[in-house]
Amino acid sequence: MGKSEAQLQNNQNPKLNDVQSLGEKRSLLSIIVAKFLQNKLAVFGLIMLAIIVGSALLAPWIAPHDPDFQNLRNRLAAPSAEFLLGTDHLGRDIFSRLLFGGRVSLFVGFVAMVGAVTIGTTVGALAGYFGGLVDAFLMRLVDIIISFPNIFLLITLVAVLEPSLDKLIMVFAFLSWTGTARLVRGEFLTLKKREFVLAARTIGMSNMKIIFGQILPSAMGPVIVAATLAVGGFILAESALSFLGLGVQPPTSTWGNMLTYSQSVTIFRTAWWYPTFPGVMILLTVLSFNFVGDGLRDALDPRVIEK
Amino acid sequence: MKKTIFASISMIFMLSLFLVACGGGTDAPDQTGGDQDTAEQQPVGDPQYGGNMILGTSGEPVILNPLYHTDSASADITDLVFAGLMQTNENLEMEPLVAKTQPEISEDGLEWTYELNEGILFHDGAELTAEDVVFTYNVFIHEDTTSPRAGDFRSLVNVEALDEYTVKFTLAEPDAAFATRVTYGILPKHLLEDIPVADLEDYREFNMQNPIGTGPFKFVSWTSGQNLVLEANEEYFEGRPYLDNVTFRFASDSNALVLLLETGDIHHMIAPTSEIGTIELYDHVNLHSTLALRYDYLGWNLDRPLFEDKRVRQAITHAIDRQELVETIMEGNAEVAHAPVSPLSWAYNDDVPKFEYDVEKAKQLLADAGWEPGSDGILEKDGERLSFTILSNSGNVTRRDIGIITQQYLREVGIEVKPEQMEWGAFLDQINPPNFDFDGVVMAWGLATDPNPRAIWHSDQIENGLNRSAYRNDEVDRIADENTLVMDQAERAAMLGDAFAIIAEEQPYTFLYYPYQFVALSKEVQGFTHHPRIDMYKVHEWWLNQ
Repeated sequence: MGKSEAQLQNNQNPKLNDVQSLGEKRSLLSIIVAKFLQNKLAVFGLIMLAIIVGSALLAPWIAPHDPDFQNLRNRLAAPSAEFLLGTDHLGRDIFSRLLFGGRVSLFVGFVAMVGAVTIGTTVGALAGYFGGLVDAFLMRLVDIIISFPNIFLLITLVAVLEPSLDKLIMVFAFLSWTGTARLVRGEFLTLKKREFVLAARTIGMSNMKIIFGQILPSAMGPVIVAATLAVGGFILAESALSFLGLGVQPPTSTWGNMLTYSQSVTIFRTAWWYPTFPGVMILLTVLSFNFVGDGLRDALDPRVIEK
Repeated sequence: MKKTIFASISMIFMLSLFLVACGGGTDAPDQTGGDQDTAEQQPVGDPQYGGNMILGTSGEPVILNPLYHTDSASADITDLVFAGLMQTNENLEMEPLVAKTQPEISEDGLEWTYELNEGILFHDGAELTAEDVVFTYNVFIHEDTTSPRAGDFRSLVNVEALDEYTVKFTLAEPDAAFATRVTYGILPKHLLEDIPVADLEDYREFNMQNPIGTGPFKFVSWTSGQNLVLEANEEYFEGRPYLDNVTFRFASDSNALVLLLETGDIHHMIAPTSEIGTIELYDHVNLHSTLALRYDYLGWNLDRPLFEDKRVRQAITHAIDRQELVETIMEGNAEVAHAPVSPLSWAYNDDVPKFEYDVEKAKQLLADAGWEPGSDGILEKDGERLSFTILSNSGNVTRRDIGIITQQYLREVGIEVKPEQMEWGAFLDQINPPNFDFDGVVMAWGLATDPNPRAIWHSDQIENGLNRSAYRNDEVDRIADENTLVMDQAERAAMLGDAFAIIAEEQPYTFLYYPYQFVALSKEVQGFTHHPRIDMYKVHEWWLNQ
């Protein structure tokens, strides 16, 4: 449906179409990149993400201190040359802990995203392509999962299972694939009626090959956008659970549990740097993912035209 | 040096933020000698009647019956609503309350006779007589009793009323600790005598909705999640309380309480050590501190092969700098502990083996015990690594931190520690019988007035008691059994001192420290006495200077 509307629009602007398409030959990718780069917030987000992900990956080499090394005689020290962002309530370097904590937070975000998107894409593709009973069954499953309030279900599950990193990721992945599934199903419903699908069927291609080899690549645009936004969501969810003491357990640091430990009136009053920096990191990261996601959505949508 | 930088920086912060320069700052460990106000006392006039005192607390009571509760939130309420024969004063001596005088004890130590004050009225107007006392203590020795305190009365055979105001307790054997056990609030026989003893714990009409005692305050209402209201007992036998009402206000956590205190919404809270620095800055609040009758410890599970060898346990204690713990995370508000007895007790024995911070000695002891460094630096013996978990309850910030800190101390000597947290209920379930599923645990004991170590250290308390460490020592068992037969306190102290020295030497626990307790009290509140164990002590003497 999306594509046909776009075609209509293009037909209504024959002049623009002629000048651009005849004037230069461009690949789809270069158009997408150009459109993305025109969005300043998206570029800002991408640069921030590159810095954040890069420094998390390089944490062992960048971090000036052992993130778990405590110096009880230097608790809640203010930011200084030695401790760039100050120290926490056990005298550990907050900067180093942020770097290592970022690894955990980003790891949770990315792995949960890959899991959720994989499940969601598969379910959505099967439901959309086969339709009928398969569709009805899979979509009712989606409805059931969506009907639970997400954060409460998360808290319950994590409280019943003992909190640990792998369980956290699994719970995220198994609860968050529904949006992707609906998205992909919608794409498949329109795409499967196209001529190229008919052509593929005619030459006797198997269903699986048609789904994953032919249709899916065309449906990837919205999935990439949803996936990008999901990473930010997972990082936020992990922080929330860790903040409630149900996430990653100490002494492993994550941005969320660093915030938990700074939960004290006295720390708020005397050591502003302790709650501030993990909070800022969560804010920046999630914001950047959202900016990039918005930028990608515009760049991948054929209806949005380069300025 | 770093510390002075830190102190001065935080001082600058405080000055710039609040423009107050009252002494102390965050680094004032030495202000806590005995009961002492950290702020100046205002000039005080004569006590006034009236006012509603609001106490902030994060724990809600469980049961309002003094025979059945095991939590401090319930104890706080029942200490106000009920009164016992005797009470423990702030110096941990026994004082008569419902009783008129100290008991008369027969020469063989088997018969204890208490004479009661006349004219004491229950909140419903009935007079308290010897029959009520007999009824109350018969609950403990009844075969159907469900009271968790029944074990205190194993030696009690009979309670009888000699006349309307005289009660005689008869014991099977002399029990020096008996004097401290007659503090339980007296229940009204006329309201409860028809309830079978087995069902008394579940009798909600009394225990939850309308407890009737002879204490200074009457129960008014309890709204779960919000508050519990008490009003003055006009007929209280020690004199009408100055306060008209006492209201317990429930808040979610200590942060919420601190903010309520700041805004003046509560008059009283037990202040956690971590927030003392903030509360000190409140102009309208006095901080009272006193050494609490308790100690905090790291308990080891002696049934696990890792902890079998006492040299390993001693080495662990040598490897932990408890003085640093006290000076840093406790901010100086504690004293290093070496034995399972409080310095406040008459039985305190300072002459026990002490295991000071000494990494070299710790390594030597571990080497003597046959542990050798493995490839990853962690000690090994017979293919097993010296690695274990330390469990704490997730709600308690200080205990969680102690687990994490211990991890670093013990890594220095080649021991691997994994700190773990669990929710309180699940935590207790896991460490208590019959599970005993832990290696090490961060806990604290609030001690009874009587220093008898039996409940925690006797080997017959392993199966179904409080001896979670599964500590077994014949000599300690013998002393635990026999010390209560000795009526002379000095002689008994010497006996107990031996037991404490044995336990200190064997280190079934790494004794951490004796903490101070802080009470933050609005300056309006006068007449407060800080008791090392009882939070609601002589509240009828408190008054509001309005």
